[in-house]
Amino acid sequence: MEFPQPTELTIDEPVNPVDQSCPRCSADTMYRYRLVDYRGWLEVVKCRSCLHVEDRRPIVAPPQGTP
Amino acid sequence: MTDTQTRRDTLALSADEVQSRYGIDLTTAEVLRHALRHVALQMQLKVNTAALSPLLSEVNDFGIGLLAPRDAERDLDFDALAMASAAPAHYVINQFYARMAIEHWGVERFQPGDVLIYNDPYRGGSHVNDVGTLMPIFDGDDLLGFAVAITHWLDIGGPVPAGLGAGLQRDMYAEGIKLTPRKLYDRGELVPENLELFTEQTRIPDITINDLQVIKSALQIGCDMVLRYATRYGADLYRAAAQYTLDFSERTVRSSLLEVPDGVYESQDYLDNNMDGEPMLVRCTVRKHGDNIEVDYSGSCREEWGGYASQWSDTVAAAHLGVVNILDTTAMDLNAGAYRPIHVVAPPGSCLSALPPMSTNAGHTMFLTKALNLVKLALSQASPELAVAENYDDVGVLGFVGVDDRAGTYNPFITIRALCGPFGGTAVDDGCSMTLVEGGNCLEPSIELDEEAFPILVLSREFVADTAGVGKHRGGPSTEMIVTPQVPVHMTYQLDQCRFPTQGVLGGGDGARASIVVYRGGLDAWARGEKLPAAEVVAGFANTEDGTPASYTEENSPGVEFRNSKGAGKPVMPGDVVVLRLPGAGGYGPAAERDDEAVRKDVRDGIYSSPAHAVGR
Repeated sequence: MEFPQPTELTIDEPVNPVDQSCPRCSADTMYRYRLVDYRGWLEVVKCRSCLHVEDRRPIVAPPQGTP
Repeated sequence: MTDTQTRRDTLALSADEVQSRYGIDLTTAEVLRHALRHVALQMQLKVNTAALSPLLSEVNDFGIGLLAPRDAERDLDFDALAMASAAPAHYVINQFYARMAIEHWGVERFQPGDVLIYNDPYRGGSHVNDVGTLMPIFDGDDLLGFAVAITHWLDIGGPVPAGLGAGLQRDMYAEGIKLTPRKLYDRGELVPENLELFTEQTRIPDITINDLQVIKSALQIGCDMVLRYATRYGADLYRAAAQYTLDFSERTVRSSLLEVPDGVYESQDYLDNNMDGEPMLVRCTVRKHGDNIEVDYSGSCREEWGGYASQWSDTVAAAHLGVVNILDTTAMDLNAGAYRPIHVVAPPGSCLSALPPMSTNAGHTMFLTKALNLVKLALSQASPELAVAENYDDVGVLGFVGVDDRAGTYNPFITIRALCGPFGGTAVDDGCSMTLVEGGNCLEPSIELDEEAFPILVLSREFVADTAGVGKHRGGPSTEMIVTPQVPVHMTYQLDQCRFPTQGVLGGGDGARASIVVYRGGLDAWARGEKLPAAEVVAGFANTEDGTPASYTEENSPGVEFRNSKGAGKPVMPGDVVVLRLPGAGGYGPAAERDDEAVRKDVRDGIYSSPAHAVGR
């Protein structure tokens, strides 16, 4: 499994807004993105204000899990 | 009673709470919590005393310890339970490296006496030289976890002796042997064909034959000691103690995080160069709320060829260590529980989260240290009490490879020295002058050992005046090491901050830049105390025409170039004199606030050449 070098000079994790307010702090928007917790890779729906995690789904670690 | 004691009292559970939550009495839980760490330290001691590789016997460039059992009801999943004191980055990575190897192999396939070996960085590891091993701990048919180790192998084959060859290993196929998990021991019996991968394909077959068996012995010690405790207290109580131990560390970190002001904090820095000589931007955003924290490396530059990238597991280790190193974590055991409150965003394809076929062998040390320091610099904005100026980063490596034929025999050798360096000033005091970066926490072998074992002479090693970043609390000074080989060698070197200095905080000054120069044929002049011949810059700013040193202030001037601060294969001959100078560390707070007595001592100790230098005038 090989990947091309990115053409962008800097790399951001794609952070996609979810149409849902935070149930803990009432922030307007939560976000879906990938992160690593102490056990490995997750895709989460998370509030970036109070760091509440509304949803978490284990994913295969890149590169094995990268399309 | 101090604030810390008060906080400890509130986070400690009562005996009744421990009994009801974990099903174990508090005394037994505490005995076993400490015993687990003791087991890990005994495993480490075995490696120290029996290994032939100086990286294992002297330097402590390995991480060893225990994984917990798997028990869904107790939320245990082979988590890193107890690790020894060496190389913290390794014991953090054990949580991913070993667990991914278990998953790859299949937990149902293990039998007593098996030892798996693996070194694929793209399966939760760091770089190919870091070899993972694990051994199941069976109590009859009951799997109580694993004894695990990550050990830095002095050579793993490939085109660059010792492996660290920034710019010389374009992709992962040029790094040396790379093993998916396989058996080194099958039910206690050595698997010769897998041993031969090391004896036939690396440059250190004699060391390897010994050290692979030493590691197996160390893992066996871990298994045997766990079984003694499991026999004495019962497997159920052992599981209870594992859960208690992980939760204890989690409570400690969460409690410490509550003392950090909530907010969003940012930092950035540059690696001196990529393979083409261009600076590499690294960025970090730390989001902190309550007892949770997220470290996000978005905005960092892309992965680059030639080893200028690192694995996500390295970056996660760096973030974990960056957070806990800035907290009050006195008496905390660094296990997987400690890292539950920490989330890390490591964008795949960035220099901090490489994708195949990028090489990460050299990048492992470069970016681990950068990523760790970025967390500290970001959290420095949270409060003056937490602020710390920047220390030297990259681990700092100087190595030589060649053939020692002085006695008329043909003796290939590889020697690598991970360099201790200075740390930045803090709210409490001046920066430490000489210790290894937190991720490594290694020891430098004695100079005499190196001189006895290898054809290398260290002529001098001293602090350098006027290199420490000034401040109310100054940074540690540069260290300069002067070395000469006694046979023709190729030099491996990895430094950073030859181009961009360490950063001061809260008005403190930056440290001095690092450099490496060679005085060709300069040994006789050095010995006579005479003026050395013209210096040739290996790493740092140079005049293009003749390679002599130039000032960083001339970076954009015609005829001045920056020479990459990482490389390998640089020829050095007997009689040449190599001068490696580490950077100075940054200062904390305005230098005008420095205490007069501290200034007097600085000048007395040669840290600064005058009181004016000590306060930045």
